[in-house]
Amino acid sequence: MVSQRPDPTLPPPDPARRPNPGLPRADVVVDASGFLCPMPIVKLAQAVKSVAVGQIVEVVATDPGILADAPAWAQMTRQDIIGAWSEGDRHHFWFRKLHE
Amino acid sequence: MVAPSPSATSIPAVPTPPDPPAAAGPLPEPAQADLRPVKDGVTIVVFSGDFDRVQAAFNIAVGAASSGLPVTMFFTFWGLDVITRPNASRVGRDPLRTAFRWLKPGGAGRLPLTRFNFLGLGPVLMRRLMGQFRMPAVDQMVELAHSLGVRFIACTITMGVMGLTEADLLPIVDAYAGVATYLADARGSDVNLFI
Repeated sequence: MVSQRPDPTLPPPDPARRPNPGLPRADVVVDASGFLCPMPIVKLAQAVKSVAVGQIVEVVATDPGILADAPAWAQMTRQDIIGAWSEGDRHHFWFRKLHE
Repeated sequence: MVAPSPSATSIPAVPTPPDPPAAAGPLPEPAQADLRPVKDGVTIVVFSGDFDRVQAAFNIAVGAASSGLPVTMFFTFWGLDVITRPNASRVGRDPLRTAFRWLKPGGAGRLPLTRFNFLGLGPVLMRRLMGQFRMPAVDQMVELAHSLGVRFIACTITMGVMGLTEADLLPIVDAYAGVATYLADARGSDVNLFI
């Protein structure tokens, strides 16, 4: 498990508080909270690179640009977004790695 | 006397060219195979040495490299400041170039802002603000881009003009080259920027 938590002022994301139990379970969680463009995408790409095909990467970001950038990144890299959820200004996306 | 109308003024009749000789046959068909390279990549000419412009160039480069695209950054003119060692020699090979090196020592940590530079105070404030927002500054972006596989090309012509040698540039430079190398890369790219 890779967990990067760079900003101690923000509370950590709490899995128990997720209102939707149907959201995917990630193999790797990348917390890019507090980072601005392009760092969430950089960290997401590094995490997806590090996992095996079929595994799930969750990225958490507070930069609202991620709402557009996550689908754009998935389209460019031909990876799959399998879930999205926003809690206030904290945005979660789940990606399934389809290929290297 | 009536002034000649504009249409009557003196544009000599263009002689009709003789008919071209009858073509020996149909024009040759273009080659069937499309030999152009697959366009999938990003080429960025970094001409400016301004902090804010260079920051934008690196944001795009790093984003593209993280999206799996091959990225080439071609540094020329003031853009060479970005990849100049902070402690590069200020001695050129003649007095003029030495003066140039003293006036413009270069280095990614010394870039001025396009606006609100205020004799160097602007970039200090900008760096502090960007730090608060956890944005990597240009010198960190250079390292990040290099680690993501961005190809750095330094323009040899402007290096010569500005009195820079290979020893004055950061060791991350992949190639020292000219316009043909840039064009070869740009022809294989579908995103091509001049910043």
